[in-house]
Amino acid sequence: MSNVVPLKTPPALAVKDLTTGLRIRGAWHEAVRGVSFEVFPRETLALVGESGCGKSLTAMSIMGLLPAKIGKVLSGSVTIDGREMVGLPERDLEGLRGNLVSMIFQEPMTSLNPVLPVGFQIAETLRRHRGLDGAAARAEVLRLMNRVQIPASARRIDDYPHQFSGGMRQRVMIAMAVACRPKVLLADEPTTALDVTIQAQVLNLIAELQAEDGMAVLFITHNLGVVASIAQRVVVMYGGDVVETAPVDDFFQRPSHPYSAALLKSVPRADRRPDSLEPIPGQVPTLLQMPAGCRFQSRCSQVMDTCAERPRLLPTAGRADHQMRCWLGRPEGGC
Amino acid sequence: MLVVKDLVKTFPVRSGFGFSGPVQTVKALDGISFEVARGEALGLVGESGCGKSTSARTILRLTEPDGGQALIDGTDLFQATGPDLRRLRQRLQIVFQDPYASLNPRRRIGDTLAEPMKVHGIGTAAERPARVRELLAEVGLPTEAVHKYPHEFSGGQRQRIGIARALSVGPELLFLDEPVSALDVSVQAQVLVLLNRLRETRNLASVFISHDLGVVRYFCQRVAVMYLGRIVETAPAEDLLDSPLHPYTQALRAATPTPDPAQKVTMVRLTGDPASPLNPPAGCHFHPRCPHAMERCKVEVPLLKAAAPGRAVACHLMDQA
Repeated sequence: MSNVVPLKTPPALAVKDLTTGLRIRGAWHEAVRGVSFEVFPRETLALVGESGCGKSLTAMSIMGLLPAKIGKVLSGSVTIDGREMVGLPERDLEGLRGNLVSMIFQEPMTSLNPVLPVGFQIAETLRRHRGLDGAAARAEVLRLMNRVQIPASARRIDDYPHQFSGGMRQRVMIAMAVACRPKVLLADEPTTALDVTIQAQVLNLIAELQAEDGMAVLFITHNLGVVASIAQRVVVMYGGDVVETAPVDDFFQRPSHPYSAALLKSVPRADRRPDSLEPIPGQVPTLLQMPAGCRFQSRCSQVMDTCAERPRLLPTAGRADHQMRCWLGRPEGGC
Repeated sequence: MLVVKDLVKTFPVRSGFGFSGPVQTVKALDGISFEVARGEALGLVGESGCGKSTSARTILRLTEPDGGQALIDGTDLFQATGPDLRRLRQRLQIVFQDPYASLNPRRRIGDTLAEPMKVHGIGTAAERPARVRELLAEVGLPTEAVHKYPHEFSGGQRQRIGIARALSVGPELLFLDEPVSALDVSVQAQVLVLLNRLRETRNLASVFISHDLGVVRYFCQRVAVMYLGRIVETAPAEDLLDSPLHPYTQALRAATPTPDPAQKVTMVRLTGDPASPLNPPAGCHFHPRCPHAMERCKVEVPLLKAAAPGRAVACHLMDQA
């Protein structure tokens, strides 16, 4: 569909060879391994995977929000609108977060301050980054609340987070996130805690705001149905590795990596009942138990000897924009 | 085998702090009725707060009902007391959503699984360890699990333990309250396949509570859709998902994402949040969000009426067709 992005446009977000480590029992382990992707203005890239695959850690690395003592970017680069984020001092990061790049989270209640009115919290971003105050800030907050379609915003501006439903709280979070018209929005499972009808509303809202402002959206989710609804391109992660990346239509037609293919076969669908559900055996190994080489080998039905060596991410399915990290279909020891 | 008739459950709600303030009542269940046959899986779907979990808890008398009947092969659970109630409960068990919260962290798995058998006087103390090992094998866990504690297991394994515990007293019907919602996709499929196998091998009936229509389509033969304490539509699973009749079911189906870029989620003009159960709209509870609402919907509660063989819908639109 709209996955034709003009090549001339520079990416709003470019992640290159990002490796993030977590400190476990005194030793650093690679929880994100050499992840690279780009997200262009107006584009939605879905980052898909199960718990522990490194998708949220990737987002935290981009935002510079890794917990200081146990997580750090070991190597690689993150540029947003051409600016390098890795290694920036906290002071500079604070000037960019909420301004150039914003993030929304799964559970809006824990991300909002329960003892401050929502209007005040939305205004905080405006005070910090746009120097708005008093009546000007209040007017802008009202405009933002209308923009994210919170009904009766004038009456609700001084209400507290607990007076809002889950869907409305997520709208408040989105209002804060888009207050400064960021170039990049990171959405980490923003609809996972919501009922499906509310999820659909929030997905629509994000798409509308994106169309108006031209944001690049990195949408992190484990729900392949949501991916099919909103994304133009997909990046699948497993055990900290990008295992497959493709335009969304191509991905669902020809999921190439054994993990992607297995994942699609294990999702019960509302539109038709499969003859059988084929679960992936076992579970994701912990970081301490990760096998050397391909990290999916312990659960893969097509595991071979070569899997002990880590495959590279290379084009597959005869397309340059569809890549996977797997030895299948490659000459042994080749590439 | 299970017949639920006009089940009503209300909760008192105090506004304001502590014990001051006026007492209001919330009708969590407003006269719901359904039947489950032996070996059948009935799906109970709807959004948060619609009363799905409350119906399971009320039927099991984990909270006391305020009206209605729940008959197991003709015996009313709500009239039973003491030993009679215990005997009936042995036939109905429940598996909870959160496998972390529903297992005692200080108790070894073997003891957790033996406890219900002790309570219900099944087997002797000498026989129970062997039965526990059988149960573990049946749900696909290693025998060594007997000596371990819940924290040593992953979410999927803990859910298997929860299932084994429910099976320990040999029930005929399981209430499965969102049993796979907290699990990752690949693990969710493992547990669903296990539950499906148990349904076949033990001829287990179940009431499967879920908000995920895909999971319901895989597991259930029939589905009842709830909205604010009332059942608005019941139908065979395939029919309900392929051609939903109630506008709310249609909206739910349209909003459910499917892994196919050709079918994106749509809103079908369904705006707004579900209304508060504290102050539900008059007439049809769904009318403020319904794209087809008429004057009649605002005043008259639609009754659940047969719409096609095996299907019933509570909507005034059905009278017009």
